[in-house]
Amino acid sequence: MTHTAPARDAERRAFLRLLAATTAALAMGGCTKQPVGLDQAPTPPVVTTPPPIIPPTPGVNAPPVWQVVPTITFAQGVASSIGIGGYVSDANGDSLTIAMNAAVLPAGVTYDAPNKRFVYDGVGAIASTSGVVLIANDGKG
Amino acid sequence: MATGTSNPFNVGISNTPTFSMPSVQDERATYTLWGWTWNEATANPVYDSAARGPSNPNYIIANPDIHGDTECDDVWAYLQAYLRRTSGREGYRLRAKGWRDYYVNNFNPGAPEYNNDASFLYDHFYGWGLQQYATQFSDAAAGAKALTISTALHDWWAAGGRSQSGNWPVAGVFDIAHYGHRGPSRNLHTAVAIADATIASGTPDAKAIELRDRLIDLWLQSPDWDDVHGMYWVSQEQMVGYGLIPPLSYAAGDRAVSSFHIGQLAEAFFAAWLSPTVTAGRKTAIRSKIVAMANYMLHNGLDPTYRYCASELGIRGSGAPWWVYSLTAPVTFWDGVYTTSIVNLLVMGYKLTGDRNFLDATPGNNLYPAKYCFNRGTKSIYSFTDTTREAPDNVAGHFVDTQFDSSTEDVYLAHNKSELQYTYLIFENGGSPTVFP
Amino acid sequence: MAQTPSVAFTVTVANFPPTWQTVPTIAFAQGVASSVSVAAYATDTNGDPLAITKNAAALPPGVTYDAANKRFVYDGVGAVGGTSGHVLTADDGRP
Repeated sequence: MTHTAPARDAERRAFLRLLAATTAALAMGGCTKQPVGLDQAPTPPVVTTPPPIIPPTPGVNAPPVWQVVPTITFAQGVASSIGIGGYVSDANGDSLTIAMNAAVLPAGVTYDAPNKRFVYDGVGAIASTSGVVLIANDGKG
Repeated sequence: MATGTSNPFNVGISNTPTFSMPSVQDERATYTLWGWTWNEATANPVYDSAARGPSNPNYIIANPDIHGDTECDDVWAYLQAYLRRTSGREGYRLRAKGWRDYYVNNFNPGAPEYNNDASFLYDHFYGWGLQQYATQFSDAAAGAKALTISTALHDWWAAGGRSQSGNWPVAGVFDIAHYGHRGPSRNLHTAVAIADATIASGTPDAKAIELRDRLIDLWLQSPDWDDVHGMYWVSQEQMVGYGLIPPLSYAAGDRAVSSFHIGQLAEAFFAAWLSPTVTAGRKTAIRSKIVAMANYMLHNGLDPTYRYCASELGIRGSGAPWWVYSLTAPVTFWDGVYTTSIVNLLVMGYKLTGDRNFLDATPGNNLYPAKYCFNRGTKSIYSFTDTTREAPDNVAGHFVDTQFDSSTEDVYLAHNKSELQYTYLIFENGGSPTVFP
Repeated sequence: MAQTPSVAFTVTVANFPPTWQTVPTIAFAQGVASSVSVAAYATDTNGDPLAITKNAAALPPGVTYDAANKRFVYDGVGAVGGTSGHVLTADDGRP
């Protein structure tokens, strides 16, 4: 009885199905391994409505408004950064510059004004600085 | 000192098997251990009806292409899916039964699909799932058919198997992985299961025991074992069949293996190592082979560029590793199922050595632990880009063996017909598998 | 120019104490020498290496807690049995 070398199972069949696939099937990104979820229409993402912004009085500049900034906590030994731009908003939609006061930050932590974030180098020792204040400036009178 | 305390827990010794299939709860605990999140409804859907696809409303298996379509013992896969969870599982039980009915009633010599796979050296014959089904449900007919399959395999090997010599192939001479590892692996797995089941029931089947021990010895002494690298390689003829020669050259020392075949071999070896009746000497040698293969895959399993295990991979004569991605230019598709195929083997490396590099060390170039391969493999979506993935690294997109292959009208499991067979070990103890000295 | 200061806040570099995932029942098969590591169940946000000690609750005969390797070890001999109330403490060595 003669025998032939067994085909390379999965890949050969995948290749043959690829040849027979329609453009639509190829556009779906594959042949044999579609997740079952593709059989149904995808669920649209949930859109959350942001809180309403009180419209400014026309002709009057509104100053930036701060939420409470929580304690900014870095894990000693782990280089990381924490952004603070999300804690302040401007009703006129003005772009803001945010400066820090003269508080002395813990060793290894710096305030990166252009990117509106605190950056920790992962090296500085355990320490804490209170009384840090950020000043947001909208550049308008 | 800054301390944290654990929950109170129990420590126990019981008359349990050395290994029990981890449950879906163990799977959840493992994902939680890893810091993964998931959507339970979409990642682990309730599955109470077997009906999937327009042509299988009652999940009846008729005339399956055993050789061409199966890549797993489907009775086993659906039975585990049923047993691993306590609810939302009736559909899995109906699928296991559908395959049980097919094997018991229709998988006979003379059936075209039976004869076809027999002509391919019985390389898609299974049986351990049917045997476990028989034990689980006290199903005498399933047990009888599992024994029939084992006997057919025994008689074919006793007559020479591929060698057609008229007698058992000679251990040390016969290159068992010539046409790939999956056939002789699956045959061994069947023999282990039927041998132990018949011994446990009080009527040991001499043929199953003989087939088991002969196949173990053929594997352990096979000349295609490369002790330098820790891998069984396929033949030159098979490399030609894979389309690897050229550019590779067998004469130059280039060697190849198919990754999911190694996963099948690991499963057969693990079953033999767990067996209460395989001899200690064979177990020691099997253990050594498992650890060596796990070590190979730990360092050379994944292509360092794409971080996937290709469908074929191996070693050049120069000693440099290769993956089919680096042979064919340009690379045209990526399929993570091959990466998933080596997870259990890597966990076995951990279980047999205690070396955490195998399990969950920080991955790096030439170090690809089981947890990393599980993440890479199970979230890959077969596609024409190497970056298309189902979920981010810290999210479980789907629980293993909960998705079906739509190209087969959902008859088979997705991801090369079962991911569980290659991954269940990583869930043991909720992510901290038991280690054996 | 319209400038607004925030309310004062604190910036801190801190040590976090170790945290635990749920430790399951540690189960051994009678007659089978084996071990189960507990290292994976404890983590430290700072990446500090942890020392893990066990409380005084008595373990079943044949089982010991190997603190150096953070694992429970079973000798394969001890009889069927079990005990409860085991608690592990992870210490990151920081004040």
